[in-house]
Amino acid sequence: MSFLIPCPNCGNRSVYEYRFGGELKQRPEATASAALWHEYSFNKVNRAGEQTEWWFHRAGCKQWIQASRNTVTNEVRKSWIAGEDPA
Amino acid sequence: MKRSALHHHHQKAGALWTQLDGWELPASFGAVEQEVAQAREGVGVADISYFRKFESAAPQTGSWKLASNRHLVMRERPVAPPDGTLDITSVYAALLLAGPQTNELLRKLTSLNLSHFANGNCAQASLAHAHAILIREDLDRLLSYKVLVTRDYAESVWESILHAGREFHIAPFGLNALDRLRP
Amino acid sequence: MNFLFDSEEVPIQAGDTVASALYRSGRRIFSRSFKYHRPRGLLCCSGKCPNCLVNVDGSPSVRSCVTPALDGMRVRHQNAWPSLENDALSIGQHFDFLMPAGWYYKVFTKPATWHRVEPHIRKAAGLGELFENPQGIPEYEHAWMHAETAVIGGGPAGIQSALDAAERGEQVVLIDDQTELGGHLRYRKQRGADPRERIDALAARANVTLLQRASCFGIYEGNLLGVLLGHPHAGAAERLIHLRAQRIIVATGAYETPLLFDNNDVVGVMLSSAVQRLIHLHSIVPGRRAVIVAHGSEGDEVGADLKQAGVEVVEILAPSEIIAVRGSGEVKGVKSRRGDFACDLVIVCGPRVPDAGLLSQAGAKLQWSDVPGAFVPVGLPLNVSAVGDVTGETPVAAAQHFPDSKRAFVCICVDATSRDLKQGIADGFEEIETLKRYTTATMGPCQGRMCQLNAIQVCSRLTSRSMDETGTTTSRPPNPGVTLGALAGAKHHPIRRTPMHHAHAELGAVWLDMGEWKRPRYYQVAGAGGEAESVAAEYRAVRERAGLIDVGTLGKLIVRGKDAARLLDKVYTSRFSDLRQGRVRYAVMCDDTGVILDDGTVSRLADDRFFVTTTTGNLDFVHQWFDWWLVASGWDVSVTNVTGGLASVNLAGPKARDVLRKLTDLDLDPKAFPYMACREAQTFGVPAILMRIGFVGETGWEIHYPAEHGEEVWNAILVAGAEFGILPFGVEAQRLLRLEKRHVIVGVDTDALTNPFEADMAWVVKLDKEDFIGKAALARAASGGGVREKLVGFVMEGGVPEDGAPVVIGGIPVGRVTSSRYSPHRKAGIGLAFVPPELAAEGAPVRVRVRGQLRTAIVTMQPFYDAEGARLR
Repeated sequence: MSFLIPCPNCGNRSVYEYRFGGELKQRPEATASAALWHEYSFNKVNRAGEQTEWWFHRAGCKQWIQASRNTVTNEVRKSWIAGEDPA
Repeated sequence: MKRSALHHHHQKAGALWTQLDGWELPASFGAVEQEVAQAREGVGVADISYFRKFESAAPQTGSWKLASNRHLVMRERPVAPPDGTLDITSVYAALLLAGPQTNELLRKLTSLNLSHFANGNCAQASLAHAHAILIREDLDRLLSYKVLVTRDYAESVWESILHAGREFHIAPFGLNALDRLRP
Repeated sequence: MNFLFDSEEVPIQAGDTVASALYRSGRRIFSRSFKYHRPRGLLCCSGKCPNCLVNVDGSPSVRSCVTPALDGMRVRHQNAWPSLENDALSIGQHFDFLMPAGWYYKVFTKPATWHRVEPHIRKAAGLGELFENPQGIPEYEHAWMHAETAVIGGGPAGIQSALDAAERGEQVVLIDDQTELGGHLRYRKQRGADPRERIDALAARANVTLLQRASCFGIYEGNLLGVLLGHPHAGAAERLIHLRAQRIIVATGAYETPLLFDNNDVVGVMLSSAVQRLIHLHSIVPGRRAVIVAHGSEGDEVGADLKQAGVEVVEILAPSEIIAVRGSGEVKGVKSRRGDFACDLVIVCGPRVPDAGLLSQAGAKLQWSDVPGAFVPVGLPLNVSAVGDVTGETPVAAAQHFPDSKRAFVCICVDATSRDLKQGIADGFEEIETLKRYTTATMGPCQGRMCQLNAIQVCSRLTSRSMDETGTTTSRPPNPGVTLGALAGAKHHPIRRTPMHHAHAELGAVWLDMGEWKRPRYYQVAGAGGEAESVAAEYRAVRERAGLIDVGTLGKLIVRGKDAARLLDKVYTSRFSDLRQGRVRYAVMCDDTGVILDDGTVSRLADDRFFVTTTTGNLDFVHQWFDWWLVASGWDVSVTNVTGGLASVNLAGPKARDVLRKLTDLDLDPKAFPYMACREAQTFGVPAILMRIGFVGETGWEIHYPAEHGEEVWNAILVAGAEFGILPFGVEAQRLLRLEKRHVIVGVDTDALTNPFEADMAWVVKLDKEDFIGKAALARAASGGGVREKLVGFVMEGGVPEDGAPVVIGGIPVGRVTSSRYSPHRKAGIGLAFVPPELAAEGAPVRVRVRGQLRTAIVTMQPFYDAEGARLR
């Protein structure tokens, strides 16, 4: 595995510069049921195809970014500063 | 007296000491002419940890952007922290690399794309297994970078630079040689 | 200039490889084959076969035909005893009927005696031996390069592609594994114009980097090329280059492979390109009388070269005409359908196979094409292209001859003959991938280069399938092989040091590695006994007088901004918005499932400024965690890592106040500076943050000050404390001291599933607080069912268990010891352990395994020392 992830601050960098932060998920409300919390904490969609995920650029700008990656081809179509508008 | 993380290395290398702004620093390692020549023709490295550094959430005059919410201000001589900044002078050790073979040396220590690193730019990458901030500021036409690593990694990175630089006969240089190299 | 081969001195001429110098000096037998120990000589002269493998300067299985000969090298033969000329194990050939393909799956099974025989077989098998390098331990390097276009192969097609790309203004890197560019034109002059002018043009361009004597051993995901460069400079044996390219052009050409006939492996049977290399690159006359085996007029080219070199060409035979080579050690002649011919060289014009392995690694498929008569690469991914002979553009030799014989070697690496392949197919292994694994054909050091085409041809014919239906085996990197040294690179491991590192060294510190950090485990004072005595002395100093420990590895963060308190309230289980300026609080953070992530302290320095400490190993995680929660929050908070910028010490002991008084004007009276308070003040003239906390259970201060004053202040404290008998103490003493106080270390006494209720920290969970991370899970745990086990203390009735020892009830392990030491205070073994909740009661007896025996321990819920904490306050 040696694909590249484009960092909005730093440009294309090897995947090993980042720490994977998991797929993007909707966090339940504090008062949600145990089942919903369990689903959020332990289950993943793990899509074969395009997935939006968190990455932390550990060896570079040390900023959280989000990216759209095809989990089958490892092509990262685009990335953006986490929390900002992907467009 | 303030000491850089590399104090003991400089001592072993035969540093002739001077004092600057409360810091004990190497003026030279015994042969200023040679130090200057080595940097001009091959590659040399100096300890500039005494430079002041400040971190700011918003851009400042002459600051370097590290992330969308983090900017670095570097000043060679003591200044009061600009408004809203945090003084991180102690956190980072700083090195200055200079010489036409600097990129050949750096290629053995970092995967950063140096051919896309224009003069006056700042980049962050792993260097000798430590997180580093690199700022390219050529000294006139002499290729040169300032490299910041957190103080705890300084000795390890310095040793890696000297080891990888043996191929180029790298030598450390002091403040006197640095003055001579500057435009 | 010369090198040693075994005990002989071998002269070196300019441009020699180890093999060419040996050949010129008269050597013909270079190795013995893997299984039958048949003598083998130079076959390919291009690093693609196993015949020339020798040991060079201690490294086994080095391809001598592509290794430049250097003055002073020590080269040895391998896999033959007592000599290459007389190898005792060659007797094995006479027992080949006992060792057909797959024989080891069939023998020594009934009765099962394989385990007894295997060690002997293992000793006889294997290739090469590792010896100490007489030149000293080699050094290796890594380097990283980037290119817009990378061209692999410096033959005519590669040179042209590189020139074209350079002319378009691209940053080009050209990789070639030979000593000079030019590819096959260096020894096959008839095939094209002299490339010298174009080579000079390439070298003159500033945007072209030439990597020569460098082999590309793999193409990896993301157009990453692995390139191995031998002897980059005097100080390094090998350099591994990670080359990232936007576009890759593969111009690796095609290489010649052998033909099948009886005894096609005998010394003196050589590929035509091999003798062309010997003649044109090394000015060596390869022999006296040659028979050429070639299809049609393909033998004319090498025939002309041989004649020009003074070798008599006795006859040219077609592949279907040759029956066998005569001569057991070396070629004496050939037996053919047109008669017998005496000769000392058999020159084979074999099929030229496109060297497409890299392309298939990049994702191309290999498809059989009858026109060139080769597997050619198709379906190249974006940004990867192929030019020249590797595309199969040059026709390869047409149909060959495929005898079924015990002496027609398909795979010379493992001595697999065409009979062995037939046997394998008869045993049921008809697919090329399983036939390969069963016979081990293509699995030797040449990685299938010499034998893959022939193996597939044999399989295709014997299973009556087309070449395309038969298919190929999979090319995998690294090819050619790479030493582990090169993969490992420079021996420099990153080390993190505190500002007082050298002071510790001078005090006799014995180091402990904590991740990348070095910490003093204890201090070895000259003439004062070993570890146990030193640790005991340090312990006594802290309990009775004063001790000083460097805690600089602790993670330290400055959290500032209008919403700083809000962030801390959200992330930690207790409240910090109500922490007054000048106060410190213990802090625990959990994840959404209620599991403890880390602990530390939070001190309020100002309304909008907090000083946060974390455990050594978790600082990076905690910083990332804070930043993650700030994403899209809109909160005004900055988090800055100041770990390396602050020297940090813990001064502790009944005399700690007396020592500190000599260094600061700050009022240290317990009423002015109570337990769990923090102050900013000058210490020894240096600005410092002082916190009155007590990890080790004595009156003490954690002091943080700028790292550039690290040694200065450390030494000042030791000098000030000398009159009180202060001692520096290390991690081992600290572990014991804190254990007596029953202080938990996250990650040692907690694991990846422990929640605060299990870790006996219920008090730190403020469920009445507004939402914080883990609240929902912790609320559920608090109301029952969320506690699987509990952390308790225990006192042994004898013995001291090891960390991790099981807790046993009725012969069943029910828990485990997390930390354990001998307590000087209790004069017994003490520790912390996880036990089932029903055993978490004062006085409950449990059994703990100590060195294989079960000993009794009594559970206690109290600290082992100073339970009221009077000494702390």
